[in-house]
Amino acid sequence: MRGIVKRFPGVLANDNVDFTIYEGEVHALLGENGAGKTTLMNILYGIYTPDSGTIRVRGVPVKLRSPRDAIKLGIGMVHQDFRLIEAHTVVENVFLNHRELGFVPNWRSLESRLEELASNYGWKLNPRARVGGLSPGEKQQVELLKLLVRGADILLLDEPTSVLTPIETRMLFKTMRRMVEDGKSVVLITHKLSEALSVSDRITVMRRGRVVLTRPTSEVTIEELSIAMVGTQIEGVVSRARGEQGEKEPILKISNLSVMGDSGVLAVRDVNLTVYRGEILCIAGVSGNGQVELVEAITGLRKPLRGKIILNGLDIAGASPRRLFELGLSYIPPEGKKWGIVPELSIYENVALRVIRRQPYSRLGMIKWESIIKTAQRVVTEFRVDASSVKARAGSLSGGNVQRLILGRELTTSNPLLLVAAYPTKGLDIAATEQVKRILLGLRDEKVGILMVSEDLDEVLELSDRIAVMYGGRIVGVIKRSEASAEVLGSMMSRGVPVSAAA
Amino acid sequence: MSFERRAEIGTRFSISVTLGMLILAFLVSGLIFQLLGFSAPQIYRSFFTTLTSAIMLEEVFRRSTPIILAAIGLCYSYRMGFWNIGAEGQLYLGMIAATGVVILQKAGIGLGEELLLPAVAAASMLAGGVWSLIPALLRIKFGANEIITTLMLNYTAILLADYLIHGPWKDPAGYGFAQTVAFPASSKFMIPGVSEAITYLMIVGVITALTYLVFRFTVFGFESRVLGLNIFASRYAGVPTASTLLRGVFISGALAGLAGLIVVSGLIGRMRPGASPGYGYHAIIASMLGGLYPPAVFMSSILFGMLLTGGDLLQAGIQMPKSGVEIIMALIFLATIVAEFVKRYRIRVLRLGRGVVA
Repeated sequence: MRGIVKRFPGVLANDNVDFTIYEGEVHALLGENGAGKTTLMNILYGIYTPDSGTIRVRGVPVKLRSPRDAIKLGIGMVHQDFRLIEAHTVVENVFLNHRELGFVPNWRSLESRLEELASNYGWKLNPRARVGGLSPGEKQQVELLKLLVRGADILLLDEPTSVLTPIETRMLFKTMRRMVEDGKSVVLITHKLSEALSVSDRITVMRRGRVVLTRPTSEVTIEELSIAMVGTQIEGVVSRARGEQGEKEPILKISNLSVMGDSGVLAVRDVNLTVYRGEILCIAGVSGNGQVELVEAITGLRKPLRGKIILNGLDIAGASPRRLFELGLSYIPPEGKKWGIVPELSIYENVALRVIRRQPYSRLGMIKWESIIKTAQRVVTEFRVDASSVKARAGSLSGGNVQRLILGRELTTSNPLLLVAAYPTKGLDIAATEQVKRILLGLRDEKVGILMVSEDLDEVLELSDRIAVMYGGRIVGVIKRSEASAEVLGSMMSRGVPVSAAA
Repeated sequence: MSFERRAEIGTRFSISVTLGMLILAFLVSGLIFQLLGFSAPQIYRSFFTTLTSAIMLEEVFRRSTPIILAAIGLCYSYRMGFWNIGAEGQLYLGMIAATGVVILQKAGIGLGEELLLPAVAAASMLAGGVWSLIPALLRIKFGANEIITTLMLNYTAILLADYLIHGPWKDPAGYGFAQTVAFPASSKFMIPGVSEAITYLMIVGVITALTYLVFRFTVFGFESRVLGLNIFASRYAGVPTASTLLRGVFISGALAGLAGLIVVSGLIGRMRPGASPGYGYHAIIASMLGGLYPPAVFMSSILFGMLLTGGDLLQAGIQMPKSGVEIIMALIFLATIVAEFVKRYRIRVLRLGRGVVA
């Protein structure tokens, strides 16, 4: 694949991407969520057509109009979410719409073919079992069989381990190696460094739609990879930190905080962290290391298991989001359209979302729409939300405008002491990103404490006064911006090795 | 061919799609009747005669009343994203509770003749409301799907009513008929100098207007809409999820219970098996057809009252079976679903070679 470009409204998902798969290799396609990995593979599988660029398969230029074209060329993809019919059996799923099915299928011969293929990879699958009753690992095998019976020899696996147990993951990796021995090629899309390193022959790292690194697995270090995933040249980033200041007044003090994750394992382990007024503390790290759970615990969306969260002298562990808002904690949630706004409602109704129970926006349970509309108009003009009117549906706004609306609402309807911002610039274009950054810096200058989570190292280095690195649910170290270097951050993010060298 | 989500849905566009689909539903049902050997023009005429005489019109309003009450109630549930299919059961609970109060009254254990109306009203609303809280609590506690639980509770309620009518509550002076004692005049809603139909119309009019105001101007109404539209944002905004849901669902059930009271105290005068011909189900379609917008729900419920009254005429006039009306109702329901789809998606036929998003 050469020079692949794919634009979606507001995002450049693939920016001039070159990508090569060799015969008989496991190629890991590594990158954070939203880096453009899945888009690239969807293009190769014919689901999307690229805006420009060429694809050659075995040297022949091809045009892929649909997955059917891709399958004909031996390219097969297993999506993150399985596309199986749960009420049907394994063999029915595998041979669905297969040309050998015929009008009256010879199930027995199909079953025996299936069993032969499965045993080749050491799988114990009953062809007559209903798919609904299978484990995620077995369902994945069914998906793989679907590709194998269609003769696929280039297999694209999108985050295949996200639904698997560690043992199933190991089995899958074994299968992948086995497939490669048979001369097939496997692309493993993942955001987990360890997986890429343990199973692949070559690694390509994508970030913000571009390929930033392609190298044989034996020639890269874990530090290099983690830096490539989250940022680029540390030395090239100009810091906008506020510089040293005299007094330090803590606004948020977290001690011994542990939080349960969705899967029932501890996502945040014994975290201690302090945020001071007038600083930006960035939490850096490869995503999925407990950042989201930590933020949710602070903002009242998730009950902490134990530990204290002191906001301005008050323990707020377990308090409701509304109470926290009233105490001066503002929050920019990740995925604004999902968490921050109600797309079906108008802009002014979205401005009312957090303050509807407060005067002057309502009294005795009755809403005062005039005062809400007035505030909404202020938000829209002061934060330059590009909308025809405050009565427009919030869902019709672009990502940058949604983010400005959320920021504007949080800052106009309250005077925050602490602002928690989770991935505030994710998915925004350059102009919108810069605007959000300026707002955050302006707040910092007004003595607001800011706790920001970002998976973009450039951004962390640009904005932060201090950087806390999270790894495996722990804060492995907090360093000053001036102490940040590629080595220090790389080793903390990839292995959770705390810094001792950095003084 | 592909379907694209529309970013903006205009009000006028939305209304015209719904009306267009409604007309289509009538045309298709006419075609079906024609094929079945009835005269479609005659059937259309029958429905419109219901609007031409004062007596017919009163009947239309009478039959619309329980549908309006239940359908307005459903607006509270549906706006919160609680898919309550149980208005029918809640309606039956209202009937049962009201009948219970009347039986007590006749046995001399009651609050007295002048307090009978408030007593039956309170009892029927409380019973309908509490009945609807069962599926709401099951959803909050165990995540049980309310579509299933509310539907199942309908059968429970109907069977409970049947048991009472055939068993302990059977009217001893009823010549063996399966029915309860008649409701006394003091248990009926009555505004002096006004007919029964107009009385009901005034009551449901006030309730419809109040509901409109609740959704437009109260924090509770706003928060229930947020809850129904985006559960994530409502948690972030700090909407008290459980208590808002319970309150809304209770109102929903209470209004269905009140509908039950009007059926037994006014429309048929006593409880009988099959006392409701499915008002609670008609209400589901009416609330959807009205887009959960109270004034529109009011109008679409009246349409259902018209259909029921017109259906009675046809049954008597040209021996069209009762299920004929149900065909029309089912088609209206389908039309509503299609209309929703047309409103939300733009249908686009892609040129070949442009890549089809699977």
